[in-house]
Amino acid sequence: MLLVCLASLAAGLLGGILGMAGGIFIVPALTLLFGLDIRHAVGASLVSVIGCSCGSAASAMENRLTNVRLAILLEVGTTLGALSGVVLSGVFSEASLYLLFAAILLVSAWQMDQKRRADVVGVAGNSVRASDPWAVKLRLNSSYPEPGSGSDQEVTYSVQRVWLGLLLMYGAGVVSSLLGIGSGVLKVPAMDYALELPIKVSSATSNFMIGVTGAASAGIYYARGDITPEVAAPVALGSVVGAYLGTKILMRTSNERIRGLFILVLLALALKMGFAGFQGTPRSGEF
Amino acid sequence: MEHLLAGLLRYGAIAACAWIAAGMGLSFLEAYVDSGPLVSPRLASQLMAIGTLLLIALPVLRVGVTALIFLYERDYVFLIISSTVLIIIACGFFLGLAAL
Repeated sequence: MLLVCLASLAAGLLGGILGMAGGIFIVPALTLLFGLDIRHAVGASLVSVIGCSCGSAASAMENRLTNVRLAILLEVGTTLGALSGVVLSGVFSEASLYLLFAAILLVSAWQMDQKRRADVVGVAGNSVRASDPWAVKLRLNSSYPEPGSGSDQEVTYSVQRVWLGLLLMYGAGVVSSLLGIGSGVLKVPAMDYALELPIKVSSATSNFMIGVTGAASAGIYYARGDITPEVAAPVALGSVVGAYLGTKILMRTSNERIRGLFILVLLALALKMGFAGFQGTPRSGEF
Repeated sequence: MEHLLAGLLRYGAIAACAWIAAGMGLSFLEAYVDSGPLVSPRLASQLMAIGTLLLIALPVLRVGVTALIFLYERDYVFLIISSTVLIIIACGFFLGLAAL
């Protein structure tokens, strides 16, 4: 049990830094290292996702990185997606899911790389321009403090393409409940690319939202009896602590480095997922 | 608003973790020390289950508190939006129960 806890801590740490929930590492770890069946692994992973979200969101919020209004709005999309995902879980074959996921990861990595190149010039990476009228109507545009030399400077940003964001969040929600991940890997690039938020805001807001998406899915799994406390509990504990530490680090690194790290993780995961898809559903010991 | 939510999250997470840690600690104890009639053998399991459930409930609670804050701020648009999220989650939960 302690091992599970420590493994979750590592996953949470990585997740906290990248603005994702580390559920992606939990599911393989549980099924391969600890021999748990997929359904319960997904259930436990969902709880870890919530843990990561809570662990990191608290610290990011104090630093005013999280855009709460935007998060709540987008959560309508993700929760609907989570419901749809559970309903759909009988329809898709697991192998096809892995392949689809690998494809999405590759696209995200590519998108982030594009953005990174464009960003090298500016410091904060997002200029204030005319935003999506919906963003103005719903008062979504905001600002956050960027640690500079001496005192923090306030960086304002605007939100673009709200509807596209909602649509993408719906998709993220579906994937989240199907695979037991937080979908931060989908949410952050989506916010970065479609909504054009500064990456640190994307990370923080995504972490905030991931908890709700996870809770929506986890609630359903729990109701169905797919969550074992003996596994889910240590996973949750490790995740919370790991995520909290990870977010502390988030505040201190630059937007630049975060994107670079993100791209590497995405590529590694894409390889792994693609592999799993081609081999068919991975069972214990088959990776 | 951010501070209130951050506080709720932090203390809620700590509370949930405390429950889980207590459950885990108890199960370790049971493995090495015979607690006999004092403690029911399922207590550790139950503690962990409660802690886990608490954690799952946290984000939902958070949305609930956010909704209340919007009510207080008379931000009716966002009150409706956050209530919608809550309703969706509740539906999901009952969907899950029904599927059994």
